[in-house]
Amino acid sequence: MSLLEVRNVIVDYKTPGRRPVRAVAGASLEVGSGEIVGLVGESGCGKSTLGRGIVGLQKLTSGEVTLNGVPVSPVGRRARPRADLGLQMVFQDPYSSLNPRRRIWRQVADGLTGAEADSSARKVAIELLESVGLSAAIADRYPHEFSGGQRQRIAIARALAPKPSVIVADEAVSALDASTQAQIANLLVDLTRERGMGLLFISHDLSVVQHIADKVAVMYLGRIVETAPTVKLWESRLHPYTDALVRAIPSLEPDASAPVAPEGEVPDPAAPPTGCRFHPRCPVAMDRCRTEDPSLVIVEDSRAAACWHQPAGGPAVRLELLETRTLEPR
Amino acid sequence: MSLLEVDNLSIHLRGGRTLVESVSLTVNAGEIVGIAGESGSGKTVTAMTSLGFLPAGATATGEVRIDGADMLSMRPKQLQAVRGSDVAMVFQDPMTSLHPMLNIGTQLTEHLRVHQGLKRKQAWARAAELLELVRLPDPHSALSAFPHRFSGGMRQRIAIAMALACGPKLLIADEITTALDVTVQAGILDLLDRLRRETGMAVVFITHDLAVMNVVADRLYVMYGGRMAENGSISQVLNSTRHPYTRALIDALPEGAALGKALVPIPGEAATPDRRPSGCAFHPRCVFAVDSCRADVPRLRELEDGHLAACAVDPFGALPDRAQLLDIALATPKDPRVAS
Repeated sequence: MSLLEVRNVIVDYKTPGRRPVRAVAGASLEVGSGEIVGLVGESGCGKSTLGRGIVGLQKLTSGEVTLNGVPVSPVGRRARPRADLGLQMVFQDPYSSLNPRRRIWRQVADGLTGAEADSSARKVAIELLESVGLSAAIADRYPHEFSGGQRQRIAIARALAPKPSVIVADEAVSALDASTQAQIANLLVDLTRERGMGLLFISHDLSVVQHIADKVAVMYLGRIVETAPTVKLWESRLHPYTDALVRAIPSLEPDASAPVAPEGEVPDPAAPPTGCRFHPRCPVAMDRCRTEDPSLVIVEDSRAAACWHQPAGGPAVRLELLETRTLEPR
Repeated sequence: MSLLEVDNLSIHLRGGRTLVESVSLTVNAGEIVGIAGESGSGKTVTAMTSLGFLPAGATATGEVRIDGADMLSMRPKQLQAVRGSDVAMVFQDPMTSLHPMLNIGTQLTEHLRVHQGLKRKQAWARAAELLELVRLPDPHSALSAFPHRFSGGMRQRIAIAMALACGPKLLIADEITTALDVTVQAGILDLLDRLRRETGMAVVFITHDLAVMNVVADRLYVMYGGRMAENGSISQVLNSTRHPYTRALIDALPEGAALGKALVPIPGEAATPDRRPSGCAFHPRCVFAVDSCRADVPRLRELEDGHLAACAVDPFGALPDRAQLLDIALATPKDPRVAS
C-alpha cells in the first residue's frame, strides 16, 4: 500500500448563475515512502486544485484521499485530526506564505505538536531551520530580512515541523532564479530521501521535474493523461499531449531546433471537448477520439496512458509511427 | 551604424550605489540580442535606460543612441515621440500590463491615434490586423472584449500587438515568457522570430533562462553585479564559454545537468547593488578565484572574434596546469549555503 493514495478525485468550482467548472475530472495517483512524484501540466489544467484537494484545502466533490490508509478530512474551523498533520504543503510564493509580523522561529514552531510545542519549541524550531540549511543565528529575524530562496527554506522548515509523511509542493521553485531553484530542488530531494517522506512535486516546468521526480503524472484539462517512471518518459511518450509538452521545451544543445508550440489554445474547462479532451489539438486524433473518452489504462512496464492509440496491457505504440500513418481527413 | 548603441554606460544612485558600470552593447536591425543574468545583475535597468527611463534619483554617464539619436540628453517631449513609435517595450507580467477596465480595442488604438493620428475607424481596423499578426483567434470580437477574458499567453500576445502598433524598429522584451507555460512560450518565441524576419525589427530579449536564449537569440550578453561578464554570438557564449559565471549559470539549469543527477546550484548569494564584492563581483562564488580577483576588477577582453569575457583567470581558455586548477577548486569552500 502506498503512503498517499488518491482515488477518482473530482473537484467542481461552483459560481452562482454559472455552469460549474470541473477543475479536476477524476484523477488518481499514489505516492510511496521516499518517493518523489512530479505532477505536471499547463496552467489551468487543475494540478494546483488537485494538490489543494489532496491536503484538504479544497473540498472534494467526490473521490477519496487516504494517508497511511486513513481518509484525509478537509480543513475546517476546528483543529485538524492528528493523523492529517502528516500531510503538509509548501506554496509557490514565499512572500505571501509567511506572516511578515512574526519572528520566523515562532512560525516554524506553529507546526510542532505534543511536548515539543511547549518547553523546547524554540530549540526544535532552530533544529528545523538548521536542517534546511539556515543558521541558528537568524531564528529571531522577520521574513522581510530574507531573500526568496531563504524564505522558501523557512516555509519548508515549517512544513517539516509536524513530522509529515507526505509533502505537497505546489510550484515551490517556480518563482525563484535558476540557481536558487536548483538549491531548493536539491533540498527537497535530500529531505525526502533522508526522512522517507513522500513528495508530490507540482510544477509546470517539466525540465525541473525530470531531474528530481521518480515518477511523473501529466495532467490535461482536469484529467491525468499519462503516468510513467521519469526515465522512461524521457525516452518515449505514449500520450500525444505529453509529447507536445516535451517538444515545447527549449534546449541548451548547440544548434537546437526551435521549440514547437502545440496547435490551438487550451479549451475552456467549463465546456471541455467531447470524447478525448485533447482531440481538437491532437495531431493523430481519429474518429473514436471525438466521441469516446479514453480512460487511463496500464499500457506496459508500469506506464499508463489515456489514449485510444495505446491499448490496455500493451504493447505501447510509438508516437512517431502514428504520425507517419495515413490518417483520415479531420 | 547599429540601431541601438550603448557605450560605456554607468548608472549611479544617490548615496554612491552603482547599478550598472561601464556597460557597452550594440543591437543591429533584424537581430535578436539576449541579456542574461540573475536578479540584481542590472539587465533590466540597462534596457530601461536605453529608453530614457532612469530610476528615481539616478544619474547616467556614457552614451545611449537609438538610430543615432542620443537618448540620454533628450528632452521629455522628444523621448515621448521616440518611445512607442521607434522603440517599444513588453513586460514580464501580462496580467498587469493591460488595463482591466478598458476593452482591448481601446487600449490598442490609443497608440495609433496618438502617434500616427489615425481616425477611430482606421485605428480599429489596424488594431484587428495587429491581433491577426500575433495570431490571436477571432481578432474582431477580441477587440471589444476585456483583458480578464484572455489566458496569460493570449494577454502576452495582446501586449506584444500593442507594442507593435506603430511598427517599432526596436522591441525590448523583458522576461516576457518567464510567467508562461512552455507550450505558450514556444508560440511567443516563434512569433518574435517571424516578426523580425518579416519586418526587420530588432529585439532585446531579457531573461535568466539560457535555454530560451539558445533557441531565440543571435548574440548574448551575460551580466553580473552590474557589469558585463561575457558576450559574443550565442554559440560562442554557450558552447565555448569562457567566464566561470556563465558556466555556473548553465550548470544550474535543469537542461544543463545530466539526467538523474542533482542540480548544481551556484554557491552563495547573487551580488546586488547594495552588496557588491570588491574586485570581480563574482569572486566569492567562483571556484577559480585567485587573490587578484578579490582586488582588481577584471577588464572585458576580446578572446576571439567578437567574443569578450571579463575574467582574469580565464580557466576555460588557456587552461593552466590541470593539477593547479584542481588545487584552486579544492581550496575553495564548496557550498557556504545561506549566509547568516
